[in-house]
Amino acid sequence: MKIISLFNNKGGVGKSTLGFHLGHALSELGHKILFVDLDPQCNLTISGLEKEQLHKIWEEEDPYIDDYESASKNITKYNEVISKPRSIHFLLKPTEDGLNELEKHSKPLNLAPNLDLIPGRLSIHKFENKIAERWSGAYQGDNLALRTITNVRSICEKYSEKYKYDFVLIDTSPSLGILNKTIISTVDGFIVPAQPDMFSLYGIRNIGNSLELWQREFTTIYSLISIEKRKKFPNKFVQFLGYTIYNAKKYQKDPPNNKYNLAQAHYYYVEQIPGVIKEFIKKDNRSNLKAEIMEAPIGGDAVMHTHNTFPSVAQALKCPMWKVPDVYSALLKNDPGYLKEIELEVNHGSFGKYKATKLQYEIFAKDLLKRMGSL
Amino acid sequence: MEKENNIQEIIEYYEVKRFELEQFLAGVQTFFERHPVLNSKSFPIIHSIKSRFKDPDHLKVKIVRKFDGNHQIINKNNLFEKINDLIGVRVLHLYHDQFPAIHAEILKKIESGDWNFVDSPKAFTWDPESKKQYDDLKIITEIRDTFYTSVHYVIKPNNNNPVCCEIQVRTLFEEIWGEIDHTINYPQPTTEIACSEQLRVLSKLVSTGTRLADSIFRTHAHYRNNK
Repeated sequence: MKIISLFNNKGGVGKSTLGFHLGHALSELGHKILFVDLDPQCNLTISGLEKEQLHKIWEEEDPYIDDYESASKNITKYNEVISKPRSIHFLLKPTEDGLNELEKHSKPLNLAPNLDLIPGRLSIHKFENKIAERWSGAYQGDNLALRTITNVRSICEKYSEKYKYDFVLIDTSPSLGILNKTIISTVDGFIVPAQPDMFSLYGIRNIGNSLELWQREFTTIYSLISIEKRKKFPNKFVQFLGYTIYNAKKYQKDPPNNKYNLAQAHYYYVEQIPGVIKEFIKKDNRSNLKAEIMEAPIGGDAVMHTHNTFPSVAQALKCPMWKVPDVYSALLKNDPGYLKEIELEVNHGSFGKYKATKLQYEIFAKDLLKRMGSL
Repeated sequence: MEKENNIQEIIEYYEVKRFELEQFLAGVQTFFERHPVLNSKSFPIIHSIKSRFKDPDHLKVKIVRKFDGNHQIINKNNLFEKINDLIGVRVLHLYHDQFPAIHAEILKKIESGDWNFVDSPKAFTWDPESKKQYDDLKIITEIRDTFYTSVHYVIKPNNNNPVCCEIQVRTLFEEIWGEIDHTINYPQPTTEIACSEQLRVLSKLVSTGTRLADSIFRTHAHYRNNK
């Protein structure tokens, strides 16, 4: 099992949309996947389930997020609550409150065959505050501090042990704060979805600088804690698996004026990305990727160009883009009232284009699989 | 010139390790400061804690002092092995009967797997009565010419990191002697016989002071138990 995190220092680059489709593509290729949504914005969660459904999950958890210990005194209620899928914050809560580890783990939410989700929650900042409060204790081998820092990883490991996941995909917020420091530093690999602009260049620069700082801190922690406690952390520090240009405007020109078919102004930024990676992401944090692999976007230009309105239609139907024709047709037949209610209409003429996205994400997923082989 | 370079190399290494050493020091200090058994509110066993980080300039002087002619004894790789007290924590308490509790908690920390002993704990004492106490705790004792009294531990993280920390446990009376001795004899030991003579007498005096404190607390406990 490998844990992969998606990160960009700039929000709104389509990170969650890419993650959602990547998970679907990997699962359709036969890999068992778990999504963990650690972005409080919950865009990944919303791609897979209705807001009302998420609201129900949150509502049931409210008393536990307020005060886990007193809420769990009602055993009957507690057993009922944990018999259903729970958000990631609920699972982190016993550690946050300094209570004993959960004995029973709630089932993840099933999205598709081979694809499960642990939904996000807007209240995750409370957990982040506790990391900040306990951070210095990690240098002293303090048990609760170490448990807090490794909690996301240990939850991923526990679920993988039980449900046999091949990969866990973690969606993160665009911050370089302490929550993401602990997540990214304790997963196995990360990818950076980027848009072709100067934000991406600075985003990669920032994550590179932060990684170097974080690695120094983690190395110091490792040098001061016992061999036994060190085992809670991954052997190897997180590795950069690559970047991808996402949601870029396709430049309609024949023949194309650059290799990715992008507007020249966009291509200008894309061209600079490999140099920025080389300069700011330390070599031993770039796994065993050969230079030419590291320099090329994951999957080449497979998922590079914008799908226009496709992602929002897919999000409305809670499925990947390539499933839109099937899901839409089924709804049209069985529940046309629902389509009217959400004011959704899909032109049959574009069904082919929707379906064609599957191949593109498969190319992307396969390239990533190859890169993950180097972890 | 080579000698200079070697020293420079050691100092630079020490600076690189600085953050790590500071964090380890903070960890050892926190252990004593926050330990619930040693810091009960009504009557804490630990009176106070001091900690120190050896100044790089002082380290330089020490390395130079340890040069054997041109033969270098200390290098980058054995720095922590050769000098155990680059970081140190001093734990002060009132009387000797409190010591076994402090010793027990240090042993527990070792047993928990967080720390290792670099050397066996060692007690400096000249007094047969306290030697017997240390013998009962299976602590090695040694007599110093100065009649210095204190218990020393050298611990390190339980992994392959060589950094270590010296822990000195002593009573407040013993601390008085230590402070005065340090002022007179550091960095250059005094050559005045009158001074060293009086320091020896002071050593006996502070040991007696601690012994008196033990006596007072023993009689106090006896009185309370029989009331």
